[in-house]
Amino acid sequence: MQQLENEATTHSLISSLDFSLDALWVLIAAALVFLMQAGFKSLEVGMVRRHQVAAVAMKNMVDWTVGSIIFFVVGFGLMFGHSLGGFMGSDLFLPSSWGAEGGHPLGPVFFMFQLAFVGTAITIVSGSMSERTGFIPYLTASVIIALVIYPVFGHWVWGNLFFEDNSAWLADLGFIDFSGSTVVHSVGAWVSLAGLKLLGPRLGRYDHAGNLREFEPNSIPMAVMGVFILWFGWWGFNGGSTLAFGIDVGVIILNTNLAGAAAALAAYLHSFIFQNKANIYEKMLGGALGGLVAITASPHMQTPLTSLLIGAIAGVIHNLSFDMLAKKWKIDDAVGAIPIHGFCGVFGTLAVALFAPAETLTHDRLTQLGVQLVGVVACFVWAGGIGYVMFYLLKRTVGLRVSPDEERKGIMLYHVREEEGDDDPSDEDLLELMKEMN
Amino acid sequence: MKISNNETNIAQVAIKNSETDYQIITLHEFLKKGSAERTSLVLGKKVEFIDFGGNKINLLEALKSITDLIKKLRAEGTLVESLS
Repeated sequence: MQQLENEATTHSLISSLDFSLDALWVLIAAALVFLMQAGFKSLEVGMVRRHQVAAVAMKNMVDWTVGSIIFFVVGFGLMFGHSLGGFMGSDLFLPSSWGAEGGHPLGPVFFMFQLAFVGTAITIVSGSMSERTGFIPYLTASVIIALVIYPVFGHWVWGNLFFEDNSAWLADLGFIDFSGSTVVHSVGAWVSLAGLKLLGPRLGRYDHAGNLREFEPNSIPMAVMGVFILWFGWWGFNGGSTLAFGIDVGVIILNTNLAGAAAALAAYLHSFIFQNKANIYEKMLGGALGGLVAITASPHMQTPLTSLLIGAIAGVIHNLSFDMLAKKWKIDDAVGAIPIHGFCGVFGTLAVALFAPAETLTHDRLTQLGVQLVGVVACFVWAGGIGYVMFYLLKRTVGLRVSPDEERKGIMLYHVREEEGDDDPSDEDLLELMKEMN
Repeated sequence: MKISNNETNIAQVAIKNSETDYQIITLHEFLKKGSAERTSLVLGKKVEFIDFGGNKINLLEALKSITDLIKKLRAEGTLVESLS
C-alpha cells in the first residue's frame, strides 16, 4: 500500500515537473520570438536609407505595443476561441482567466508565445512599406492586422491548438504549417504586397528607362546583426511550436539552422554566379531569412538532409523573386520582405508535401500537395484581399503617403515637417504657363 | 500611347490632398486631369514635380518643360492620342 502511494506521489511529481518544463520552455521560446522584434528593427534600420532610420525604428515599437493590446482584447479570441464553423473563434476575448474547460493548460504562456507571432506578422508589413508610409495609416494597418487579418487566417490553421476539439477548416483538411511559413510569414507578406501596390515606389527609385536605381543601405553590419538576432529568435519560433519540451526540440532547431545556412550560401553563390553579384549582401542576408521561413512549415518532419535542400532552394527562390519584384513588377519593397516571407513562405509550405517523409504526412504526397496549395491560395486571397481593401480605404480617407519633403529628409512621427519654401513664382507667371499648357 | 519618360525630366507628380495625404502620380496621369483642376492645383501650390533622382524640380521650370512638351505634341498632331 505504501509502495503504491509512493509510486503515485512520484508519478504526480514527474507530471508536475514535465508541465513546469513545458511551460518554462514555451516561455523561453516566447522570449526568443519577442527578441526577433529587435532583430527586425536592426535589419530594417540597416537596410533603409540613413535619413529614415528613426521612423523605421519607432514603427517597430508601434508593432509590438499595438499588437499586444489588440491581440489580447480581440485577436486571441478570434484565433483560438470556440470555433464558429471553423472560420473564426467566438470567445476568449479580453480573457480574465485562463481556466476555460478543455483549454490549453499553458494558458498565459500560450498567449505570450502566440502574441510574439502576431508581432512578427505586423512588423513584416512595416518593413516593406518603410520610407514613405504615413504614421496614421501605418498605425491603422497594424490594428487591423492584429484585430482581424492575422487571427482569422490563424484560426483556419491553428484554431484547434487552444481547444483541441475546435474545428479549423484548413487544419481539418490536413493542411500542415507547423510554425507559420504561411500563417505568420505569408500573411505579413501578402498584406505588404497589397499596400505596396497602392503606395507606389519611393521617389527616385526608377530611372528614365524604368531601371532600378540603387539606394545605399544605411548599414550592412547593422543588418547582419539583425539577421543573427532573428536567426537566434527562430530557435524559439520553431522550437517552441512543440508547446512542450522534448527531444524533438533539438531536431527542430538543428533543421532550422541547417535550412538558414544552406539558404544563405545558395543565395550568395546564385547572386555571384548568375546575377552579376547585384545586391549580393542583401541577397545573402535575405536568403538566410528565406531559408528560415521555408523550413518553418515543417522543421519537425524534415531530416537534416531535406532541411539543407529546402534551404538551398529557398535561397535561389529568394534571389529570383527579389529581382522579379523590383525590376519587372516595379514593386519597391524597402527591406526585401516579400521575397523572404511571401515567396519562400509559399515554397516552404509546399515543400512539406514534397520533402517530408511520406509516413509523416496527413495524406498521400499528391493530395497533401493539393491541400498545401489550397492553404497557400487561401492565405493570398484573404490577407492580400483584406489588405488591399484596408489600404484602399486608408488611401481614400487619411491617405497613405507622406509628403515628398518628408520622404527625402525623414518621416517625422510627432509632427508634420514644415515644407521648404518653393521658388515661389508669381501667380501671374503660373497662370500664363497654365494657359499655354491648356 | 503614353507620354515617354524621355520627353521631360519629370518622373512623378506629387499632389497634396491634405496635410497627411500625398498622392504620387505620373506626368501622364497629371496631364489627363482637366485643365481647371490642373490650374487649381498649381495655383494652390498643391503640386510638386519630381525628377528621376527623387528631387524637387523648380515649379516654373517644370511647367515650362510641360508646356514645351505639349507644344511639340500639338505640332506633331499626337497630343490627343498621347493623352488618351
